Amino acid sequence: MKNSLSFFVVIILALILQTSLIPKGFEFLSYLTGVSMLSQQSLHLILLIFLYLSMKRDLLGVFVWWVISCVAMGWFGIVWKGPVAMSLLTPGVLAFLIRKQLVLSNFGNVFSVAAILSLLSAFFHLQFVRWMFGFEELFQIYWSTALIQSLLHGLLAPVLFDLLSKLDESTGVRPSLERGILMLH
Amino acid sequence: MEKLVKPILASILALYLIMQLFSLKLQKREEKNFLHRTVIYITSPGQKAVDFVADWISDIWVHYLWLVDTSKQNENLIKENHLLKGELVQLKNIRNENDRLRSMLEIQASSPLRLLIAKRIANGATAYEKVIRIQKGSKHGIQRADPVLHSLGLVGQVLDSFDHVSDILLLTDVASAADVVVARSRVRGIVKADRSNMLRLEFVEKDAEIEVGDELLTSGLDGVFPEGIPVGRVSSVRRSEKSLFLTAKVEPFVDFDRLDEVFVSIKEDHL
Repeated sequence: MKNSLSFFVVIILALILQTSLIPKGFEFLSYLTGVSMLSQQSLHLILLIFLYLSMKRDLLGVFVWWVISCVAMGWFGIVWKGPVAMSLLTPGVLAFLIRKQLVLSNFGNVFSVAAILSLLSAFFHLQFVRWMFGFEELFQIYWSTALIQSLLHGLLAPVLFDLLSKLDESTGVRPSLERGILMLH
Repeated sequence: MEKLVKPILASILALYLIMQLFSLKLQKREEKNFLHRTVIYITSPGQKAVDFVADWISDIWVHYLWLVDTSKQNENLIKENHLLKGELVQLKNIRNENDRLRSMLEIQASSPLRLLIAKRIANGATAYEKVIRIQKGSKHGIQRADPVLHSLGLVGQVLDSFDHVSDILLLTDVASAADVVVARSRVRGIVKADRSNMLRLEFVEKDAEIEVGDELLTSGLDGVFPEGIPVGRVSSVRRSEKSLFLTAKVEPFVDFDRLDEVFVSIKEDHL
């Protein structure tokens, strides 16, 4: 319970940062460098937290955290509920399925896994919006955002995963695939 | 009993998943539940605080440390100020003349917009959706679908309104659209989002009178935005033999990258 509450608080804090400080930081960086593309950026911390949980919890835990993440994101302003939900679920389930094949022992491994899954998340988000609107140029509009975000997520993931792992340890949970986050066993 | 908890939870989650898959439409704007309102109530001061600190640091940097070209900019601004003062005198004369002609023709002047200034405190939860959160809400008279403006032109509309904050859907989001007219020729069309903070004009007949440099204003016919609000300037027009409609790119007057304060046009009965 302590672990679940801690992760819930982390999600809320991440959303506050994701919607206020991080976009401001990118705007400031854009102002300093003159690169307008940077002002559109933010970091999808919820996606990274959910990817971590997908690799460390059982299937029920993955679904529980997916629902919590989606509802929490809804509180902080999203337009398209379905695509956002799918953009979390698809890479999360994939991460859960391939977790045993992943060797996340160094920075490079974590970077590439997070970057690829982030790109996949962007693809599903945009594809679902495209299906709904018939907005054919969606990928042409957002390809640079998707690429930059994937790169940034890849860079941030090793640090964030390490912090979340420490949170797991400090709250007395040794993440295992047999024992879910809800501690129902 | 404990054995039952897991299947029940799994069933609820499966149901939620199915509902998510089949509700691929704009988020339904139902009455906000207690939990939703509570979270907004608790977290929005946090967002305001973070925004305040970030602005403070940015201000120190911009106004005290990063003063490159400031003197040159100042000279240019003084020159621009003189020019604008001249234009203002001319506009005042035109307004007086307009008022005189209106009174002569007994045309009732349209009521001015009731505007509420609000500061942006946060962005939306994902980078793909163009949403901002402002620090005024339903307690200040803001309601869903109220038009949102900037001193330079149209910004968007209110997506959701809570007690002390509101979410704004920007015109540059793919979910946005506005009915517009070309100021010069009164040709009508629909403005939608295009790539990198640009807009595009749709549903305009190929032989319509429109050219690069034309200004677009809201028509007021969509029932959301009041008439006559500047939207943007046509930056390119493409006419194709294969299509009945032309394609026009529009550069918005508002710089959506630097949107710190906006005006919400509130209806009088909301107050």
